[in-house]
Amino acid sequence: MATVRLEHIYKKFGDVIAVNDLSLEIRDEEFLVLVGPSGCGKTTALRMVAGLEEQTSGDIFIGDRLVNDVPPKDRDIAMVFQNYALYPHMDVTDNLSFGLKLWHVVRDEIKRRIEDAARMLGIDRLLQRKPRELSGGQRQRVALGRAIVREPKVFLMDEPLSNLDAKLRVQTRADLLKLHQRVKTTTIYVTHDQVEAMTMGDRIAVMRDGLLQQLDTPEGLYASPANLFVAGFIGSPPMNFFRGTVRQVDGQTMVDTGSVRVPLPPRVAGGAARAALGREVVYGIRPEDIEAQNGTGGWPVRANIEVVEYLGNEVQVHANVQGVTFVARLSPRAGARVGEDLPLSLHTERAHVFDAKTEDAISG
Amino acid sequence: MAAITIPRATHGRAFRLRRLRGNILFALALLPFVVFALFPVYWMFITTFKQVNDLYNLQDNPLTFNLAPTLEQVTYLFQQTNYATWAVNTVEVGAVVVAITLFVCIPAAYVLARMRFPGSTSLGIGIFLTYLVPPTLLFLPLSQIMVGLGLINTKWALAVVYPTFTIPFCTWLLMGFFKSIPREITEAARVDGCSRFGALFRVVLPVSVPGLLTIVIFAFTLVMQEYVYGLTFVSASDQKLITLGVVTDLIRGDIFYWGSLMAGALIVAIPVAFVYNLFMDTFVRGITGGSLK
Repeated sequence: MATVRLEHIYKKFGDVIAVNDLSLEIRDEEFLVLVGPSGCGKTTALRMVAGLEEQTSGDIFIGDRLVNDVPPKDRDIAMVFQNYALYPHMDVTDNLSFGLKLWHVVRDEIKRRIEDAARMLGIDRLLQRKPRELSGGQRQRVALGRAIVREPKVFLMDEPLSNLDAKLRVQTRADLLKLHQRVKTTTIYVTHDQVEAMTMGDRIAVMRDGLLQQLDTPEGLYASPANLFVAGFIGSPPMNFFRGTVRQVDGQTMVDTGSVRVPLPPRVAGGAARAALGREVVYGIRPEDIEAQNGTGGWPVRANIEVVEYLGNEVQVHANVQGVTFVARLSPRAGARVGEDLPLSLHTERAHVFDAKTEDAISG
Repeated sequence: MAAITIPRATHGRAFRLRRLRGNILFALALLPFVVFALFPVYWMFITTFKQVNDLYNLQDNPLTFNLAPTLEQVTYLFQQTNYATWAVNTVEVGAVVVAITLFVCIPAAYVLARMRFPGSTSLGIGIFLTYLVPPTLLFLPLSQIMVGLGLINTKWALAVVYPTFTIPFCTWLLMGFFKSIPREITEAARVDGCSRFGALFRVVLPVSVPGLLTIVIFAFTLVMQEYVYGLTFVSASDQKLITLGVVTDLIRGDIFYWGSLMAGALIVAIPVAFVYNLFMDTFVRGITGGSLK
């Protein structure tokens, strides 16, 4: 068990800065997810922890040991690759025991670990098979098993679920979580899928263009995104954004889009609100913070419904209020019909306000 | 109520006839190529076992035995020439050349395929270009070197010279092979506890067996059929390799020992053809299947 610490890590490929001043501390037994769009530097960061890529500058610690110059084999890590990378010429048993034999683990111990892992992953019947005789899901589990039997200090996982079909992915996601609760090994998990990040991570590090945008728990990321990018990246369907100017209207500080006015949320109050007066901002509200009006409060608007997407447990409507369009998640019983007007209430107390120029969240 | 008709599971007569006709046409189309490919082998075979009188009698049908078959020519080959020595020489030189080739090509190809360093691409192309320099240009400077090394007129001169063209080609070939092996497999091995070299030997090479076999056979075949260097560097009969020996010792002036020439060619051709066919499947079947998605 160990912590992993990255201190001011830079990685340049030629003129491209893939990772830009990344500092992160992954706690012991933590499941940390690195998430971001492709090309954001998350995989590069993971590969640097593995030692497969050398950082241009900065320090990496595993436990208390500085590992900058330690080759991958001596870092006591195990990695699961996106495409599994099983050894094609070995059967499952040999794939699992490969690393252990290299470390001269005694035979009985190897046997015990393989049996344990195989039982845990449900691959005990496949031990004699070659990788090409396995299905995608089975290969994925063998790749996991190869990491587990090593009993390393840290698991590194590079999009291990992205090659599975949707149904298997959901199931394996749950299996991985159960596994982590059982073995409790510190894990760094890379994905581009925000749903995976939200469901799996103890904490999530959101990256973009090599820069760490925010490091927080899933709840923290959802409730208080640090900037426009995180706000738009976390949550599905994504947060609605409107551009507007902060103005004083009838004694209240409002965001004015030109046609619609909405009050600032309480988190932007007092000094912050006064400082924001006259500034261009982006006002963000999540689709789930918009309801059909039922008298329980919220900011009332009258919206014209343009599209209704029926999902069974909810409907997602694309609504238009005087030229401002947004998506709302409503109850199927809200009575939204295409082309008709519907009174909605915005829970503006849960809204977010971002500076239009810096894209950072404004709060007071 | 409409009756439900269940389609018959077996194919109709018309279908079977059509399929049969297709197969026959396919075989007929192949036939000329089979004849074309096998005729030289047949010619070697029949010439080897013909009596000399049969061979040189212009009235006889050349495609069949007109007199009883004989082992005379084969016996002559083994008793009156150094044929056995040439065969042994070929195997010895071939083995050394293959060993040198593998020893140099594997690391070179691996580095060129996997590591990025300034000039790595042009180095790879440069290595291949040296293969294109014709031997007729090189045998003069090379013979100087062989004299200097004291290897002139020995078979070991050839063991040193042949790698100059097996290495460039085989490096190039193996490079392509290594590139086709997913990088992640070596990375997994390195994380699992291998050094770069360990990953090469424990994972990359076992997966590359078809590629390695290809270069072994390629290098050995080149040794077997090379002529120009052999002719220029070796003149002692007991130092010759098989191709050179058969041609130089069985054509004396304008006399061709056709029977023994063909026997000499046939005896080496059979094992080579056998080995090629044995490994054909391994060449064709990529065993990397299944390691990735």
